Amino acid sequence: MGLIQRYGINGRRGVRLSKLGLKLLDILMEGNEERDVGLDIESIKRDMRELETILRELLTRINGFHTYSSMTSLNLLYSIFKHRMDRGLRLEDTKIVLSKGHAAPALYAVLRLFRLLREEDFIDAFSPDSYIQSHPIRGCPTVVVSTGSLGQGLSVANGIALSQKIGGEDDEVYVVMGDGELDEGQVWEALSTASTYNLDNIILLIDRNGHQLTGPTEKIKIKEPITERLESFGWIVERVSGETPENIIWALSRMGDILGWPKAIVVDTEVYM
Amino acid sequence: MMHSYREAFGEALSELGETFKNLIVIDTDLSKSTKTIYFANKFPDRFIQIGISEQDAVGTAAGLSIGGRIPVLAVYSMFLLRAWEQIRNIIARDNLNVKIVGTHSGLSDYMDGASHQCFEDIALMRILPNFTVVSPSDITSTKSLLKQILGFRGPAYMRLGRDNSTLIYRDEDEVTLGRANILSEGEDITLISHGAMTQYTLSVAEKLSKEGYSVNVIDMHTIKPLDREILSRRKVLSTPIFVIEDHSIYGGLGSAVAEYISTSNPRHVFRIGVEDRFGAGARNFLELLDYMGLTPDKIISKVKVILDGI
Repeated sequence: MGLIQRYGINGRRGVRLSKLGLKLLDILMEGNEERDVGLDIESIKRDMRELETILRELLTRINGFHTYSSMTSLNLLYSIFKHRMDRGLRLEDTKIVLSKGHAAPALYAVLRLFRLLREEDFIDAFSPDSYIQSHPIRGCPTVVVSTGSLGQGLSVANGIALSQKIGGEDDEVYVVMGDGELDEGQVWEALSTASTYNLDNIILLIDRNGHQLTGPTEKIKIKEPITERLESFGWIVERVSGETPENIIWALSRMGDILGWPKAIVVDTEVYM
Repeated sequence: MMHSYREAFGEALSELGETFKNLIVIDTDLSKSTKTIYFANKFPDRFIQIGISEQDAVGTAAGLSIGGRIPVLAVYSMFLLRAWEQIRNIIARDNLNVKIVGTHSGLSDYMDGASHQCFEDIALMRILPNFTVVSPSDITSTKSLLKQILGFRGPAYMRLGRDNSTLIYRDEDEVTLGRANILSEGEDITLISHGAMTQYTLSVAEKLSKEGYSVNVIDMHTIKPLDREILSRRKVLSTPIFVIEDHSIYGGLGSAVAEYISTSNPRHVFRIGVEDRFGAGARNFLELLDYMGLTPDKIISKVKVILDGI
């Protein structure tokens, strides 16, 4: 691996820096202490309050099904759309693979906030004919694949990303995964595929909330050190606190500029619930 | 004379890559065996290597179809099945335009033994909503049916053997997806088959006719959707029906035919295939066929025993 690499698939050409190169670049840009991407903190706080209200209402309709899991993903999902909105990108074109499909209510709350879903769409939510199901289905805005079975989303996202590279298209696919989900072997297969193909149009967000159905994640199957594991699989990783969206939005901004590597943001959400 | 399913498949795929510009081939480290290597050599930018990760390969194929491509995933049938849940929950459930080819199926992989010999794939694929399931009997129909499954939008599974094919159809013969082919007509017995066993079914028919029987032979290459029209014909229904396949007698074409006939025009349907057991290693294909009781002579013995009983 040299300092500079070009990736081989037809599509967006760019300079892929090695990890050393990226670290040097970081040091050069280090003067910027404040992770300020021009965010209006007050407006974000208002958004989050509104989101929580919408989410709580949705959850009552499904008897609090996976409440914790949805709550911890709220910041992650909000950050994706806020980041895209600030960048002037079309929100309806956002490609979301909610690999932890049971957090669907969080996605719907965010879609509602950003006006991609309307009040009327919620009238018959969770009924058989609705596009709003307890796990996301295609037909719902921004949902590119129906999910529900864990560990499968990243593979699909890789396929979409590869398709875009082949066609010379230039948009990102966002994958939101749970930490319990990391138990599934397929996740690691997909992580390897992404780095084999230098899929820099994949942004993976991991909701590190420390819990899965039968207990704390580390008691079920050891997942730490997550950052190092992902890095060893050929990914660029940022680990940020999930207390507020600002850090996640900062990480998304930073990731957008890195070419040639698939990127992951591990969001620590456990402490803040 | 033995012909090769996988060679026919590999060549056809490579040719079809010219017509179908959006065709992408995905491999799990098997291209030299499945012969997708021909496509890979011709269109290296449209060939994606996922390595020995079948579940990941299925998901990636799904993603490629969502992105607008036509993915063809060719894996040994047996190892596709470890990704059955992904095929079910992503490809079938979202009705994605993915074409899956299961090679080395049935008894074709005599050398690799029981771990590789798949007798369950038809059962597991036909049970999936939205899927088309096809099992070509010879090299000509392999090429023709491959082109046809690429030509429609929706998930499809094609079952292929290995090098245990024959030549039944000429290039100009019509083999149409969804319509079974009548290979010979008769009044006394109906034999239905698919895939590699069709040639042996023809041998069985030949031997039976020498003994004075008049035999219908039907190549039912499309298992889903089943050709109900042909199964409703008087010529078929007025005879005892035998379904012969290198697949479990539970869940394969035999079961599909029996399911339909039991509700439409109830009569006997006898299933000859692999009887709830695993395969075995062998030194050549015919040795394995014999061991599993599926040579023409052994099939005829079974048929006669059954005919005596009814």
